[in-house]
Amino acid sequence: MKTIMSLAILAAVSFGTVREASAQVVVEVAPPAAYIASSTPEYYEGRPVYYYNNYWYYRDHGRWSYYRREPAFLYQRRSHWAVRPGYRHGDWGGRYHYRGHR
Amino acid sequence: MTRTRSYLGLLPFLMATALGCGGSQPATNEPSGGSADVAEAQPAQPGTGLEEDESTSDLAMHHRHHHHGGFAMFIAMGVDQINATPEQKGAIEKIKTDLWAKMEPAHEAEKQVLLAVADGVAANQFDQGKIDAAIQNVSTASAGIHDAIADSLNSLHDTLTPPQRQALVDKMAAHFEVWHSANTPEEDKDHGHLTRLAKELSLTPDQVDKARAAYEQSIGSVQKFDRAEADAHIKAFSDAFAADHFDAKTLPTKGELNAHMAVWGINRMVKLYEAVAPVLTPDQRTKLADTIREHANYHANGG
Repeated sequence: MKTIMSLAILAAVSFGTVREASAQVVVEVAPPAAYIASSTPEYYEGRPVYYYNNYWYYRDHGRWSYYRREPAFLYQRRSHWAVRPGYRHGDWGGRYHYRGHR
Repeated sequence: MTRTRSYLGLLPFLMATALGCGGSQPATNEPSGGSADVAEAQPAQPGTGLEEDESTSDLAMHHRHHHHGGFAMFIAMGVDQINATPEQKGAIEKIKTDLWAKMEPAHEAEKQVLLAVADGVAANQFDQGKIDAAIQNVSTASAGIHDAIADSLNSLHDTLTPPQRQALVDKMAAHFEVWHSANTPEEDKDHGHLTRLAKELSLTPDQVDKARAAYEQSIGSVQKFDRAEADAHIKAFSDAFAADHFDAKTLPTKGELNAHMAVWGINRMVKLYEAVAPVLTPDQRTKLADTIREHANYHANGG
């Protein structure tokens, strides 16, 4: 009986957690076109990936996905950017900026 | 009790599974992240992100004033942001120089349109014959770009890796999305060209309302851009360029698409400035004319 009670409690805890977690699902939004047009990708697993709003995004068969946990390689690439002055993931080099003309 | 313990031993796994099902976790800084831990993202719609920051707003302003190269310009702009290796940079720079050179006649023709419009704004009187002739020159020059850059596109394909080719077609499509949004009259109701001008010229609400009314009336007479034609080209080019073997000369799209884009974009711009100019003060007209001349003399290739 004790065994059955324990299993019931465990099941309740586990399923309760699943339901609660599902209710907290955050749907991340893919990078907008202006961002894709003007930012520099990294390449990982044979495809371009973009760092946007703290996640790495990639497109596969027309759909955007993101890595929920940052792959080690991409973490290292971000660290690499940090030591390159004037470079940022969304940088388009200022070449097309009108700032200098205004 | 023994059986109970064995189930309880699964608790950490069950809890981890439950949390995993709960959706996204913030990207961690741990280098141990697994590539299988992925989730689908919601498409970035509506909008293109133009309103996000100054750099994307500047990109929109670029695409509101420079239409001459059509998709060739999107490729030339995109190739700067594909993260080329040091070994590739020499070849890519040469290809890029060639692309811009082939677009130069259309760029020069577009410059003449912009200068004519700037003169019209300054004088509050537009020389329609001069502007129409200049637009026709842009159309003719833009139509020739498709064939002129075929060899450059083939060289570019051979220079890039498959993931870089994918990045380039993504960027081309993204630039088109931005260009299309920036040149859609409906955009001016929220954060479009007129809104930007209102900020730059400190327009009063009355000036904005009058300009918008005149613009909405005049733009209705312009033949609309056929987006389906462009979408078909994006798909055809993307499929072909991503493949191992590519020959730009076999693409089904012809030069007319670049001409259609250029003519629509320039007509939209001209109609907007023609609608705005009459409601401006002399100082505002001078300032706007100067800004348009800056756009005319701007060269995306740094020249």
